[in-house]
Amino acid sequence: MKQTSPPADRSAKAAARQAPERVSRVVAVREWMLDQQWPVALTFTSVVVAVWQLVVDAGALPAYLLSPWAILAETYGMLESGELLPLVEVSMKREFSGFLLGAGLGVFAGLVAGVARWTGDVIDGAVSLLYPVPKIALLPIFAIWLGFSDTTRILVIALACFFPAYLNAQSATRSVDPHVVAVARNAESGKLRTIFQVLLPAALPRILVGVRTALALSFIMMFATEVIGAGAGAQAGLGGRTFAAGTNGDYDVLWAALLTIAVLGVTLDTTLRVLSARVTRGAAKEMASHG
Amino acid sequence: MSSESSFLRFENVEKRFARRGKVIHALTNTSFEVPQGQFLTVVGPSGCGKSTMLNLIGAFDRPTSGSVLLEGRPLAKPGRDRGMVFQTATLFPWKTVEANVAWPMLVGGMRKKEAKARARELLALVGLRGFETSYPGELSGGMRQRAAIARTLGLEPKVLLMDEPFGALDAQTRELMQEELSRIWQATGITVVFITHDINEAVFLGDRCLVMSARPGRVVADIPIELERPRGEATKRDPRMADYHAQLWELVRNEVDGAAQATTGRAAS
Repeated sequence: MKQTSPPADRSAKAAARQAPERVSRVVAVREWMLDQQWPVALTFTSVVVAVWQLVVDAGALPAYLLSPWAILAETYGMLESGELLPLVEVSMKREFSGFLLGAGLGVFAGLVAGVARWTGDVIDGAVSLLYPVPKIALLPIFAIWLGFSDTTRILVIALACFFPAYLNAQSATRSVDPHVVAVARNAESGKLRTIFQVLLPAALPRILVGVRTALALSFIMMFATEVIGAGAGAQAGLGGRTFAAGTNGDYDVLWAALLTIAVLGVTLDTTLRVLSARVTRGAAKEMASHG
Repeated sequence: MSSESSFLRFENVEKRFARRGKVIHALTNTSFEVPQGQFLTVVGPSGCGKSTMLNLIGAFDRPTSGSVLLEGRPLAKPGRDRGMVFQTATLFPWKTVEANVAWPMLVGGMRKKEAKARARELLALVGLRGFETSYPGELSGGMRQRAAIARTLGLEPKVLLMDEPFGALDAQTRELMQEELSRIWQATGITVVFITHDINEAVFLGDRCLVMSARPGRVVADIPIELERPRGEATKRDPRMADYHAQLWELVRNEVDGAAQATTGRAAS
């Protein structure tokens, strides 16, 4: 008779089926607010912007601090005059090429170093030597070799992006639970299959943390590499244009360029966040249930 | 060519390994045999080499000397004929429960559709019908361990190796899982080597129980458990359970005491 004993966790299943229970509207709205972070963020930002606008209108701030409205108007003006988009194109080409190259190589090297420890030991020496060096300090060296060209800027951006991507990917791969790998060995899974179907997905959430850090760094480095040895016209990029505007006292252009960088950065980071939430949705549930 | 008695066999197995510069003598002179279809449980003081023994059968590790044989062949590397269940479920958190169970079958070359159907069968066997599309993170500890057992059964192993599989579960869940495992074993007729530090668990589940000595581990007692099958709740109230428990506890306790004295009195070695 014990042969057909019911599963122990059936009660949990039954409970899951009964849900959703009726909850009061207030609770439901509150839960929704807690779930959705954007209304809160939006409200806060609106309040800050409104206060800022009022303070500027009251004439309480110096001339180099423009009102939000003035910044928006200038941004629109630059967009319409055809000045903004070429700057964006030039800068984003540098930023994105550097990011893809640096983060891509970093993740790849991190995976290799995590799987085959001896390669890690070889790479780690060079990494620990280079990691604390401000990558922007290498710009003049690359410039001697390649001039103040796009290639130079892309290489410096890539170099900066490499480190967070590498370090996270390496430690993510090394800290995968060895039992998870034992499961794959038990199933007689081949080396490549184990790497791509077990190690990589197991390490992915942490690998993506490094990739997001690299993305933020790529914007910082884009700006910095454009300020030094800035080109003329659109070749100045958003960074070069911002800096020139600051020196010339064109504060409206300065703010408009900064706003553009901020919008581009938020857009790319959000895209990456949504993508990584999608590829790690199972793992996210795991964390949620334990945290 | 496999005579029933030499299905799984340890022959004078020694195992030493180095950890933090020290040599640890995990197993010494260990010999025993497990006939096909038997449910063998192993108890002993902590650190007595129980898990080492299991790792040797799984061939995640090799003996220093002596040999471990399955059906007369020495075991050289991990294989699907020996399915391992660990203390924690170690499911892939990015895959659904069904995909977790199906994965080893796909690795083995089974077609997707077939693997999926078989995974559903196995999940039903372990009592997880209705949770196929859940992610491991949505399940309780006990349910995850059921899924891990289903995944291991999907390898169609000849031997099921279980390393304190219920050790991380709460007391009630553990009791229920023991009854479930007993039922699953009866349904599949598979050979099981089950490591535990819970003597009641060892008695309830085992056809036979090995008691290991403190490190270096070796078999100090080999006790057949003659309780009727199928075993269930009623078995746990059987007065013979208490007798077996007393007998085994006496043996384990001697080892624990002996180990404590050896540590305090050790100056050499």
